[in-house]
Amino acid sequence: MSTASGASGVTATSTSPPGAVEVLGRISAALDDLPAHRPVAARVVAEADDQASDAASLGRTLGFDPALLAKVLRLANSAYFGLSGRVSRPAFAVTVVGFSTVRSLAVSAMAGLDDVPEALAGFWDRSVLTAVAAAEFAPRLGCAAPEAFSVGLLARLGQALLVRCDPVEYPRMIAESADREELLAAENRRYGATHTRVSAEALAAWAFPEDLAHALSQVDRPGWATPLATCVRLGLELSERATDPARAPQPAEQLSAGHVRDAELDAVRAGVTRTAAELVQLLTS
Amino acid sequence: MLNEAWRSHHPGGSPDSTAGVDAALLHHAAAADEPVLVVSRPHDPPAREIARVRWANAAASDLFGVDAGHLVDVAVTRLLRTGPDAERLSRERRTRYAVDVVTAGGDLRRTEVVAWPVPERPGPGLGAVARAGTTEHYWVLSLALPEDEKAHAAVRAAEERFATLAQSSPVPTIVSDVGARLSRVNDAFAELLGLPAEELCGTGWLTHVVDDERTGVVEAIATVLSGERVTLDTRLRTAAGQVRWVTVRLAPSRTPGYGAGFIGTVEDVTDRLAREHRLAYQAQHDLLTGLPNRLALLERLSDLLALPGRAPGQGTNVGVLMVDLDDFKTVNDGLGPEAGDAVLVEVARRLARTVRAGDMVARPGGDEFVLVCADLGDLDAVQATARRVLDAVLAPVEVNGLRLRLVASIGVVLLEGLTCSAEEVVRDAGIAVHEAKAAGGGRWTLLDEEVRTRARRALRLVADLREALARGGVDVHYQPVVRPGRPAQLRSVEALCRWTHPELGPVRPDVFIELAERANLVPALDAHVLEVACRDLAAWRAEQAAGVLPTSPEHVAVNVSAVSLAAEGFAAGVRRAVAAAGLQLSDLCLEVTETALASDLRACREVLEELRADGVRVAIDDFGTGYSSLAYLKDLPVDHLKVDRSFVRDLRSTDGPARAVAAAVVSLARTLGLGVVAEGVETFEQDQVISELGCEAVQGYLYSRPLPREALVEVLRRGGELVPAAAPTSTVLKGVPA
Repeated sequence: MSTASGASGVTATSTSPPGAVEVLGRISAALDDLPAHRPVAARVVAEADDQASDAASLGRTLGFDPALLAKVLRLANSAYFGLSGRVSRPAFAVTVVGFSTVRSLAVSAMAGLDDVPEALAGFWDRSVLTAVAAAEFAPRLGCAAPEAFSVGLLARLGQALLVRCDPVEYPRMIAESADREELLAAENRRYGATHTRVSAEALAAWAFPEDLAHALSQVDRPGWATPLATCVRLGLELSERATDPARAPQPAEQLSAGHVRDAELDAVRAGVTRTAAELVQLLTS
Repeated sequence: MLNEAWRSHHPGGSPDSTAGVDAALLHHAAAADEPVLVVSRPHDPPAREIARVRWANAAASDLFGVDAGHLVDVAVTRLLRTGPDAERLSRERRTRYAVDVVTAGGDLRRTEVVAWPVPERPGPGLGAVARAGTTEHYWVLSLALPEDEKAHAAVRAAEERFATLAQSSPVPTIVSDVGARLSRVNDAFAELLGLPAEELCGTGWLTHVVDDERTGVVEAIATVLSGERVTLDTRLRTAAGQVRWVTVRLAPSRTPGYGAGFIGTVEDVTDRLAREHRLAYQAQHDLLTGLPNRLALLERLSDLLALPGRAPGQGTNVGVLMVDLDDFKTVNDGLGPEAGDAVLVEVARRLARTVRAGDMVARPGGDEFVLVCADLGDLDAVQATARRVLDAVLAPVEVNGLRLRLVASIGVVLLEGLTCSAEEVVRDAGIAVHEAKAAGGGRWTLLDEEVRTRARRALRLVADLREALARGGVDVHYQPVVRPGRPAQLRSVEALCRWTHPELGPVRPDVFIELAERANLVPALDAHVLEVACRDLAAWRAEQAAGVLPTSPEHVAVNVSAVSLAAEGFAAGVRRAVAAAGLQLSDLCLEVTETALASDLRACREVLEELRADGVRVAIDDFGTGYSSLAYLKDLPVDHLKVDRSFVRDLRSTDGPARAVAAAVVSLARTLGLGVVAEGVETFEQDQVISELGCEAVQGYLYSRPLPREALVEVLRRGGELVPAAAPTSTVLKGVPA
């Protein structure tokens, strides 16, 4: 990170390229403003973190945002969650997909991802691939699959915020970057932070549990990472391998500190891709 | 909460009310249970200066172990140690982050901080500091109580303990934190399916549920996720393709703020079920033929009989065919039980092929088979089925290199309209078989009303006979055995049982003796006659000694069946009866049929020899009708031969085959030193021939029919003299007792 003297990640620094300060300021403002545009989703996010909430109360709240509820119901009835066609009540849907997935869907709704910007073509394909793959590796790395899924799903959330707050420059950066690594480098150069770091800040701002936001902040930072962050790293790698064949793959061993081998990553790829395709269909239809 | 209060505080409010609200909030923060710090750092340059404590409440003072006053001006970094990202204070929004609290003693306590930026606005109170100085940014820091952290740690430790236990448990265990997707499976579960645990997490395990069971498993998961415990039996397919029966027990588990999942145990019950199935199979099947046994048959019949109204298509026109092999005993006794078993297995196989898929072939026991067949609506259908069965049995069976021809008898009962029990149906079929056998075997009999009535009557007679025997209601009559002459002289008597039914009148001896045989009452009947005969003879002897009667029989002859003879304790019973009456064993003659001797020669001979050695006389009854070979006659423990009435009937004064046979028997007996009694002498001509042949003892209607006790006493009173009187039966009957 190129932020100076240990200040918060997205606060503008004196070494940021021109205009970046303003972009980061807009993002910061957006994090405060966005909840007001999808108040139900914001309430779902808050309730999902509330120890007193249960599936019934969360299901009731979801009912006030039909679009969000429809997504949760469709997801709950997917083969991925194992109860195809048996879920009709909102409360049961919440039980089946889990609070964290409901919260992730609410956050993506809050971030305006119901309509993905043109610049982010394939956003959901990549995000769902990342989520499914991260959940796939979760048991091997000793962390909770639902959390890996929900963090994986939101790893690219920062891109949506960057497109929103830097609508000219960021799409151009995306277009000019040959692959994810080039894009991350460009982001670092312009904003002093990567989009995953922006995602992490959004989660923190919207009162996600600290460890989830923390994990996301570690994803694209070199060095040791929590198991949850490692899951997401592997998820991102698998999604890039699946959607960008021209890119030079990063060895899984390096990403996971030797916990997962490249062969294992490739072994689950077909299954993950199949599952993700179904989920994308459900989330974007 | 403080933050919200500050935000909602209207900046345009009156200075008084603003000051009042600020004072109230300050008071609230001061009294709060959670540690609260107010910190600030200079505006400019941003983030270069370290934030310092401006105010602390009592809870914070307790936490750090320092007086609240001494906390003021202390650098936040000295109190709260954060990660490499340094402090996380944001001007724009609330932030939450983990810190290590550094206490006065130098201890570190992990806790969480929520930091609210204090908005800058005009007005008095805390905000006024910012306005007045315009150099400081303020935050309120609320720290999670260490107790909460401890509680969380305890919960985490408990979770870890549980995970460790579950992981090493020998019981296959599955855990879902959320929904149907498994988050953990233990080693035992992975081992059960022969797959690495990772492949079974998520919904991977569901692919190992046998296809047609999957719906049930998913239903069970839906149920447990809705908060109910579930137990279900299902089947899993292992990596090796083997199917295992398992009992899955699922218990709901709810993680606050996480969702609902479940914890399940998966018990492999394959071996237990296999054992239970085997036992259940054995309880319901005949192990020799593999056919359903009596229990299964009765259950099936009970089900059919219980069908409400026997709606068409369900158990309509069901016929029960009992198939009994006519000569099976010969096969079993002659060729040995292994050969008998082979025959039964072959017959079972053939019968199973004669019925349709829904029909049943059972083997309730012995050489009996029962077929339960549907659609036997009319006699033609019954006949066709019975015919098929008879033909199937008739084909030769090869056993031990021999070709045996078996014959079966079939009794048929139709269930239509019956309201009896399954046992009664089987019993009725048995009655019908008996009828078929009585009619010569190799045929079938339908149990119609007539047969049923006859059978019921027989059943009632058996019951009545049993009761009559129990209370001494069976009479004993005596037929004199005489030395021929004019008049003839009574020598001895043969005791014969007679039964007069209280309602039906006299019952023919052949009828009730057959009933006694079927009801296993023969030994009791024999014992009863023996006892009465001994008692009567003793009475007559006593009267003779007292001078009341001029004479008494030399001995009394009692018929003994093969069954009685073979029964345990027969000899002792005889001795007891004789002794009880005060007689000698020599006062008794046991009459045994040839057939009885032939059936179990050695056992019978031993009993008879033993009694004979002590004086009992033994006579062979109906001599010449059985298969006695002259060769072994000399070895038999016998004193008398009784020439059967069938030879006597044909005796003429002129030569003839009957006379030749009778002559030979008498001559043979004399040669062997045996006495001879001619039975069934009814005419003077027969009497004449018998006398000419040198037979010294005669028994028959010519001299006397069997007499009731009182009538015989009359004969004895007359000195035992009997005048021969060939006459129609009725005349003799009237004449004799007089």
